[in-house]
Amino acid sequence: MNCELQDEKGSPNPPQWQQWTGWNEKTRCLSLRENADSTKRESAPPALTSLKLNPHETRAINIRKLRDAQNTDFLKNRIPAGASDGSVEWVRIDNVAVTGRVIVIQKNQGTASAYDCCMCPCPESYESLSVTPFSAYLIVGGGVLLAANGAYQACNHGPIDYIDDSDWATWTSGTTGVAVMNTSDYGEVDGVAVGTSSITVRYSDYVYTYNGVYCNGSLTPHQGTAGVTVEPIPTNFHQVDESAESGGVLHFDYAWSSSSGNLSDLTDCTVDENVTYPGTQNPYVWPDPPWNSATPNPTVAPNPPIPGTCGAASDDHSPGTFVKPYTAASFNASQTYNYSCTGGVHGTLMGPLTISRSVSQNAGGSWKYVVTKSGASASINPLP
Amino acid sequence: MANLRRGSGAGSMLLTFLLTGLVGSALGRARPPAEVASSFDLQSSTLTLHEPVFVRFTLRNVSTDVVHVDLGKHRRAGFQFLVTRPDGLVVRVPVASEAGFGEQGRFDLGPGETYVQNLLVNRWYQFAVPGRYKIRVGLLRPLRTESGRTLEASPSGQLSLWVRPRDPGRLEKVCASLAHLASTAPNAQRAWDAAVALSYVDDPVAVRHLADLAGRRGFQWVAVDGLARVAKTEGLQAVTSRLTSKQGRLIPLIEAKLRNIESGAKVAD
Repeated sequence: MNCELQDEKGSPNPPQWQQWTGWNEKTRCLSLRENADSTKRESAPPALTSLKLNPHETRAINIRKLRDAQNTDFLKNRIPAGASDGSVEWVRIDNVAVTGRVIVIQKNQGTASAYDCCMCPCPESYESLSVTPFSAYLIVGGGVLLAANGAYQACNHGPIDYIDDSDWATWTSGTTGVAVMNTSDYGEVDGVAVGTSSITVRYSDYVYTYNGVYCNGSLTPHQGTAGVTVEPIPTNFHQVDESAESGGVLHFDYAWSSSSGNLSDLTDCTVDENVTYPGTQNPYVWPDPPWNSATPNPTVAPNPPIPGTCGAASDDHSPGTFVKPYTAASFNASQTYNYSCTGGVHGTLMGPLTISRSVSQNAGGSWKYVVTKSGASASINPLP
Repeated sequence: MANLRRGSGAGSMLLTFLLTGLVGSALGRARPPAEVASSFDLQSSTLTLHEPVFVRFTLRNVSTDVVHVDLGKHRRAGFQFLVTRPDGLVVRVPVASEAGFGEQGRFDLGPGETYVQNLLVNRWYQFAVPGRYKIRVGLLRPLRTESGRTLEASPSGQLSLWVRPRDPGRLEKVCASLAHLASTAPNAQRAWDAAVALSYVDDPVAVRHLADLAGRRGFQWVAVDGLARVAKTEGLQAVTSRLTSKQGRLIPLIEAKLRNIESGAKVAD
């Protein structure tokens, strides 16, 4: 319900008071939303609050004070500080008997005007039900939380309010061999096996009609659907072997499999590495001397990543280039191997692993380079 | 993309090759061994200086056994190139680096199956002067059957490439086409292939396109690699003078990469 708040003389002052009165013997609730001038509004209109009124209690809300306080509502919206006029929209989400009145007071002119806002006495009607997200990806053993959003609208075709009906709705999975609904957490879908399943949520609530005397409420069912995909992911990522290659290169072979048991199912997944070097400098310049090298920090490679269907990859840690005069130096890099699949499903397969490189002097005066990772090492001794 | 395919310019020919695998010439047809049929084909046997040089490698298993193939790390380290320069000097090109994390390059080719891969020859060798080049290409590692028997013949090819003098206008079209493909390719691999090809256009014409590419998520380092290569041959000033003030942030990255290139470091984890 919209109530224009300009007074009869078109005063630039905002309305000063708004009164709400509870009629019945029980405590009543309603919510208020203030609409400032749309041309001055920087974001969504602020929702004032939910009110709890005792029977026959009248509560006044000074909108000028709300504006001047510049406090935000629970959605972080606030009345623009420069707002001089606007409208108040109020809705009763619960079926309670209350009346509202907007009173505009201009003290300096000794005038007041009042506007009754209670044109439609019915609560908001339940219009539809939808599920967010509409589609979701998850992994076997993982879960994703869906929400059932009921759309409600007042009988005078006011704005649509969305309420989370997840906890009261009935959730079902179309293919329980792929995904099941979590019985203790409403709306949570848990992955069972690779595949797809349609999730259906059903909920009934009242639709009201006003015959001029009273509101008729009829319980109306709605349902919403969403699709979930339980993806296979790379798993069992493991080191196959390691070797110290010529030139101080430390070589590793890795392999992985699919959580579905079939590597060819990993068509929507890729594997890569992420290596971070000391500090935040990008690129990371290796200690100079004894090195004359630099690497992206972080290093994310390869690009594009390795297709998940490969099932195997190698990693070769090179020594960089050395410059004289040699000096003792060392640094560590931190490495993880990661996967990424369609729909934002991603995770770490192995790591963090520490790649340590050092240059040190032998007892005889010569210099050596050593790189170690996962208990393996390669070296150049002596350095040329 | 369809319009680009219909075009007849240098850029569109390149795109056609990258997108559809249309092979222009087949000068290097290798004699097929008994159990596999293979070929190395130049995308185009005539190019202008600094254009990317593509070779299409095709391997078909015509036997009834599975053939084990090893193309080396990143599916590149297993290729060997021998280039005869216009002055007659024969250059044995170093094999591609195996540094870093990547695909092993080993796979099985079933009976009747065909494997196709585009090779950007500039990764191995930069054709720095105009003239006629002869290219010999082959695999370092022998093909084996499932029982472990080594196939007698290994895929190889002999190609002839004519590099005409530099043509900035044509090069600009090639760079623009590659940059466009890097942004619009239907999958990540093709976008990446185009970006890498652009990064090997060792010419100041490529700088503007590479600098733009560096602003795209995931392409920064391949673009910086290319800018550093241009800086190595043309000088750092030739690159930095073509960058906008906003792209000035790339300069320390280019300098770091240049340091690696000049030191010959194959730095990777």
